[in-house]
Amino acid sequence: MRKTILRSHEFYLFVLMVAYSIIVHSISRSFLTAENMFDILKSSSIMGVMAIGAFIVMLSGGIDISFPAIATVSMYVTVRILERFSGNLFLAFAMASMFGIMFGCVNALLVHYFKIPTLIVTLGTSSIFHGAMLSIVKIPHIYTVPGYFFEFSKKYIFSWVNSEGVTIGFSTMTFTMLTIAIMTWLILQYTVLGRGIYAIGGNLEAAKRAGFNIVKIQFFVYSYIGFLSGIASILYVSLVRHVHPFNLMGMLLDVIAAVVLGGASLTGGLGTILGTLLGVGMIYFIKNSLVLMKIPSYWDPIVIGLVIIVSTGINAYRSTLGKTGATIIEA
Amino acid sequence: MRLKKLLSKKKISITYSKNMTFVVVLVVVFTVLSILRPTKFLSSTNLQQMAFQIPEFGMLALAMMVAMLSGGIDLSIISITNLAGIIAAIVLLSLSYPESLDLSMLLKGIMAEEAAVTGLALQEPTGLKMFMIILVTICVAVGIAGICGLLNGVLISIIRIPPILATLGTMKLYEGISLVITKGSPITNFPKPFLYIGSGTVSIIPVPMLIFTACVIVLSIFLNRTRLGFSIYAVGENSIAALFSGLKNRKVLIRTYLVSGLLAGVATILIISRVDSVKVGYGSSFLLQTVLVVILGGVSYLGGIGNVAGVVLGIFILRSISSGFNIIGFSNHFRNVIWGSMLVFVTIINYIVPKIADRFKYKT
Repeated sequence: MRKTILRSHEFYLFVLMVAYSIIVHSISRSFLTAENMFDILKSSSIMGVMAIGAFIVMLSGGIDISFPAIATVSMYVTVRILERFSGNLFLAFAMASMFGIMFGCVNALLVHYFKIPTLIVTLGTSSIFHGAMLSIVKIPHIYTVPGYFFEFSKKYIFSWVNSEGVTIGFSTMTFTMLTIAIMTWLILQYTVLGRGIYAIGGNLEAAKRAGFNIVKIQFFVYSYIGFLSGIASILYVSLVRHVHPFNLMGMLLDVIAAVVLGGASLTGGLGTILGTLLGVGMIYFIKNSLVLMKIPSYWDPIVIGLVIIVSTGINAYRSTLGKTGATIIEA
Repeated sequence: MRLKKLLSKKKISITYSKNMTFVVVLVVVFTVLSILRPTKFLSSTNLQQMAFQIPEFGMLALAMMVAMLSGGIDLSIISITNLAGIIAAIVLLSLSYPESLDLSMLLKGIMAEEAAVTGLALQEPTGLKMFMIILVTICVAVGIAGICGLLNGVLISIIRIPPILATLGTMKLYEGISLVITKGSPITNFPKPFLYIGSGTVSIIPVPMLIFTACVIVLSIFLNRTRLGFSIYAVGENSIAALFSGLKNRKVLIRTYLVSGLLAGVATILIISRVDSVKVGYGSSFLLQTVLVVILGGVSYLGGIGNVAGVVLGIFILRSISSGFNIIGFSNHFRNVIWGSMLVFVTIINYIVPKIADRFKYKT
């Protein structure tokens, strides 16, 4: 047992995070403080929720690049509707996730029935969803977001006031993310559906022969990422307090970087929820530390690009090492 | 199997007929647009504008096509174009105006204003010297693009990162390098003779069109008549079979992405000499369209199937439609909807047609 923990990807990632934060802390004293850490936990929860969705898709052997578009559209439409009519936060979450599930089902339909590669489907649907919304809406910015959205991000599960009078606490947003993470972990670990996702990611044909319901699994996977995009978009509104139709579009590469950093492989069947969350944490560590070390934001894309390349490189290298001669020939 | 068929006459005749359908589609699109808006679509300015826009987009599409033929994808072509363009522009400007512009100013990103103020007064070199400078610039652009492509190739074939992720990562990486170099500001005001490449004409034919035609011919000879070109098809068709028939898959893949990078480098030259400026993020909307046009042109996303003629016809179709949209006055966003739906529908049709053909016992 101890050996498997030491050998796992998550363990390495954790050690890397600790080492990195010690190095950063020696340069900038404000990195390893309770305030900064809880801040990272809070702001990373949006990306965390999305990354869990993206991870599930990768686990099933696909890739979804339409989730930023799904999140943006469901966020925009939900806020637009709730701005006119009275509502509450629960309704907002429900509506956004319903829209998300709807869009996800479109993806699933195309992926399953027409056997189009997931990258091409989601490249197409991404510009369909986002483009359709942009060509319909006339007033892009929404500043009049109903007040109950903000209240959510201000609440803490528990909190305290430090010596400088700043409130530090465990935000409801982080709580939401952790709930979703645990829920997803339970689905993946203890349901037939969850095991099926691992199975079709490992080998679609074998999973089919073993009697897994492929249609059901694929519809679940793509509607689940839609659902989570909807949830994440409402979290985002509650944190940022205004809506712009391009807001979430830039998150794609960061989320994918986090997921592959967390040990998921594009060929499917590999990775864990814990790894994904650590990956998200690492990405936020890097971004936050760049700001604290006063490195200009121009460097952000370089760092993210390098993280994707290095982490996928290590994954690919490890998987070639782990396999026998017969499979090395592939690719 | 398919490789064998490709050699037999039957397959060639079918590919021919597939290209015939593209010709028919092109003619239909062209006639419909001409009938709908005869004064605008058939006007010489519109046709000439199309003739200037097709080459740069076409080069990018060919770059994407080479990667897709090998069964991969190259998402970094736009970033490669930007990076190579920026470095080439810096080289071009600092060689042309060696005494009046210093590099540190260029890198601080105040180039644009600086050049706008003093650029008019600057004396650009003439004659052979200018020719040499332009030659060096072209070599730099193509060389940088080649190095970027080579890096993609190494990541994909030696480290074995899946092409989507490798090129997604390098896309961000190259974009970041361009951003760090320019701080996001454009570089403009190239010497006049350089602009001739992108906006000059030989009698009525635009120069970029000539370059594009030359590249198309070279590329189709390369893909159909050389060892490496044929190996790219073989690896795309079935990489394990290719390996067992004695091909060195790794070398083939590295060279595939190298070629893809070089083509993006040529696109760079065409773009920066037409627009007279270079900026991070220029042409990012082309990415979806290149994938669309390559699939529209009959290239299989699984690799191994497709030819240059089909893709070139696809480019002409797409650009005609695009210019039609311009005339009708569709917004950019709505155009994205149409490109996205076309991408999905074309892939659906590509999936369904062989199935129906199988059912009716037609040979495909």
